[in-house]
Amino acid sequence: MQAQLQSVITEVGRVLLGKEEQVKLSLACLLAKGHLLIEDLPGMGKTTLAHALAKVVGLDYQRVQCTSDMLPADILGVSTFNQQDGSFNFHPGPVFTQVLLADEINRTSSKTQSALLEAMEERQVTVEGETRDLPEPFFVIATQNPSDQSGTYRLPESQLDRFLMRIQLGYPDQKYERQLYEGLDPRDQLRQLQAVVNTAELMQIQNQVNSIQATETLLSYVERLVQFTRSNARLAWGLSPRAALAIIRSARAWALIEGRDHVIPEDVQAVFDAVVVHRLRDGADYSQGDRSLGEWILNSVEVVA
Amino acid sequence: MIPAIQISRQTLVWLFIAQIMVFLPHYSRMPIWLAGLLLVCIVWRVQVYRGHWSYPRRPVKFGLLGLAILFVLLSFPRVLGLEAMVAFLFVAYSLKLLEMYSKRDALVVIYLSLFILMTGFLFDQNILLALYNFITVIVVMTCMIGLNQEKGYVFPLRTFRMSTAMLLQSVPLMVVMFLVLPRLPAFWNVPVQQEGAKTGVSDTMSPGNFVDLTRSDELVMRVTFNGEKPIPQQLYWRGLVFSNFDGRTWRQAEPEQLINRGLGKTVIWYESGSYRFRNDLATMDFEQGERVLDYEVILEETHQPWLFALGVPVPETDGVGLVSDFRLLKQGPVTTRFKYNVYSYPDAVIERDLPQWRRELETAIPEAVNPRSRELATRWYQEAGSDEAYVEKLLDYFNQSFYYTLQPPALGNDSVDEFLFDSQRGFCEHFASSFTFMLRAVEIPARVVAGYQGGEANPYQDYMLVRQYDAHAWTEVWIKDKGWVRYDPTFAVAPERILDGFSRAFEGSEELATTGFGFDDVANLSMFYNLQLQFDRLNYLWARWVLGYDAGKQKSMLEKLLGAYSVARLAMVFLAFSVGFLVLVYLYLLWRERDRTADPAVRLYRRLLKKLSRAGVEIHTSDTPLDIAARSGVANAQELESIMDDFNRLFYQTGRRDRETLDDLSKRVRQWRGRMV
Repeated sequence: MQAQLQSVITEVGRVLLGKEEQVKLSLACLLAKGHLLIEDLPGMGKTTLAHALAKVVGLDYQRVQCTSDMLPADILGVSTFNQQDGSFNFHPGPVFTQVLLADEINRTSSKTQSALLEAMEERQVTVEGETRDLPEPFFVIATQNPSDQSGTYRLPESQLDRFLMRIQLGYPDQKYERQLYEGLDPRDQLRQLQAVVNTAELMQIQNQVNSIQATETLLSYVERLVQFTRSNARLAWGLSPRAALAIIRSARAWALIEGRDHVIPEDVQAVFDAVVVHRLRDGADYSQGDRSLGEWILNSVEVVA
Repeated sequence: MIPAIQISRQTLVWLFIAQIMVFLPHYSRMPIWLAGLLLVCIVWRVQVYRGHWSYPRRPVKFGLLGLAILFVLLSFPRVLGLEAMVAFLFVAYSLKLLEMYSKRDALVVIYLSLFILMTGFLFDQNILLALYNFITVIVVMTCMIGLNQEKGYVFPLRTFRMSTAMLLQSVPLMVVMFLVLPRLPAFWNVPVQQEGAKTGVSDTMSPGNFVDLTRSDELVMRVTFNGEKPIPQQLYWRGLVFSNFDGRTWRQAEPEQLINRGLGKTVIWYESGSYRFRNDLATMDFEQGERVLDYEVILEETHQPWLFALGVPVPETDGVGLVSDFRLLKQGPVTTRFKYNVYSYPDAVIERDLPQWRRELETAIPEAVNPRSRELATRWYQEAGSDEAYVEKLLDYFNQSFYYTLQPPALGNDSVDEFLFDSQRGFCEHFASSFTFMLRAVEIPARVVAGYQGGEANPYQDYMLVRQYDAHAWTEVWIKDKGWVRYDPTFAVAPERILDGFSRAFEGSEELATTGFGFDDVANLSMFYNLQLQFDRLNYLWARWVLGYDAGKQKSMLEKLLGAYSVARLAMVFLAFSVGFLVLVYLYLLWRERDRTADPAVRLYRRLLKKLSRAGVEIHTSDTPLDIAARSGVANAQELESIMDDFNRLFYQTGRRDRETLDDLSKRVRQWRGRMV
């Protein structure tokens, strides 16, 4: 199993060069049954990551390009009237898939955003009074452009909270960028990717996440981190219990990828930034020398206390 | 002129509050228009702040200043008096608001506030004023803090709390400095005599003087006895001795009349550590007798040099002298509360051998006044046969035919005749005066003594209060072989006056009501009375321990504390106390920061971290056990890694916690010695 996970990472890494951490986070997010938000500039490999991951873990893949004039039905599906037998036929939308890439989710209207986010949360879709289950596993990778770009609708905090993790890809390292220029077209490479696990195996691995041990000492570390965000004046508000659970679940998934049967603080720290930062609003500058909000919080809370 | 920095709103408001608070204690002394001026200036400054009005132009300012100075000149009869000077300060203080453009100007107002605050103590030093001024200082400090706070900071109460905390924190330092720093005598002398102030017993006595005093419940002095206390009948506080009589008014003898012929001096002054006083005292003619009373007097300001003490006093305070007629005198008038210690010998026999010059002084009466009294005196003296029998006869006479009243009729020139034969009603001074006259008429040496009689004990504190209404006059008569003996003709007439004290003697009587004497009415409300006594006790303690803490007291206290007084010793003790205090603070902080974690493993881990950081390993807050092990850079890194691995397992894997593992780990942590590579 450990080998399978490692090969997932290597395989995806072949297409997305030098982004092992992000790949691992994405995988952890998938294993933890969460959804992933990738925030970055256009052309940084968001789609490539989503596509490659879906392919390597052997899941169906659909992609929606969100636009401002999109309606909920464009994602969920529509019923059309069949004149021949006088009945309604449901045409499932792109949401009925295992991996859904919702590209540029913040370009579409709040109404459509809500429809998608509801599907993510409930893992089922209700169209015209009929509730339909979404396939298992169901993994949404949404990408969004930085919110200060034109033509964007900011995702509200309540909906950001639905994403287990938010990651940023960033520019590739110089070394990898050259490899990228020299190598094949990523689209061709994507086509060559082979699944290394099947759906059943993936779901089995997903179920293993819950059995990873998290001791009292570790939980108390998470608790102190959460408490800190609630009591600090720099933050507009603190982390919710849902966020706390998200940290623990993600840390477990991370530990699983690392091949451990127990969570150590390093796991929490590894997923912390991705799980937490999009749920908080930072009220201060980075004059302390911390690179990010997550790092600042980690640097403010004792690991063992 | 456009202000560079607008003074913030909260500072302004606090400043106005401070100004009003600074003004309030002076309210009764200052003319009412000063309050008006201050209010006008405040309103003006508020309008300036709101941008409605502008700062006054120069001519307006000068006009206001001139007007205010004129008003001060008109309001005070003595332009160089203290009140007028304080009023000038107030004028400047108020007007400064109208040119308070910048932070610097506000600072001037703040410093002036502190200065004017202190001037209040020139008039009064009671504990209430001290407390009030302390609060005012807090407000003034609030202004100062506010002035230095950021522009947008608008939490005036928080600023006030900060100021309070800071001043309270400085109190211990203040106390230490008060106790230890040299107590310098005042190097300026302010003429504090207020116009029309009551001065207590005056230096002359004519009929009617004392009545005014009995209408006042003002405090004269507080007396604390060490050891034995006298009984009420013995509480005759001698202050002045009247030897010269002109038929109506008694006066003190001139100093040259009182020169002790053997010594060549009128007064012998007490000087601590000097033998001269002892030697001089030895030449004074008195036999001490058995009992000694040891007591301390705190005299309120009288603006006169006389001090009050019980019979045959020997002073124990520098600057106090003993006059040849055995009363106490102070060098210079008592302008502020004055504290002195006295030993009194109530059984002393004074001047068993009366020198001739004294006999002449104490028997002199003017010719041709009070002829009827002289005649009666001569007749009775012959009938009585001896001096003492004559005295008794006179007292009997007073006892039978006279009565004591607070509303005696006015007397003319032959006051003794009129009193003895016509009105036969009077107050202590009438009795003392005519009694003494009758004695002198037959050449028995006698003199009138004025002072206070009685006093009430404060049940809450072991001391006695003497008030103006205790003012009294009595007579001292020289009897052969007995020396000067005190006779109180008032006692013969109204013994309850002496036994119960003045206010009790007249309790509920109509006389008091009609003389406009209100104290007793209020005193009947016993709760109020108790409160008053409690408060007086507080003021007494204040006067005794704070105001009365002078160089001498300081020295004796320090000697008591240090064994012997020297600067080096003082510095050492001071240092020891400071260090002790800091150690206490340190221990407290240690205790507060102590490790309160219940988990022994966590405590153990923390101990290891402390060891590591002492060894020079840099540890960040976010470092996990494995992080630390990985980049500790210590010499014996392997052992550390193994320990940290164990910790990691202990903390993060279930089922690893047992006594043995922990003990083992504990041992390894203890044995681990950190050393950098």
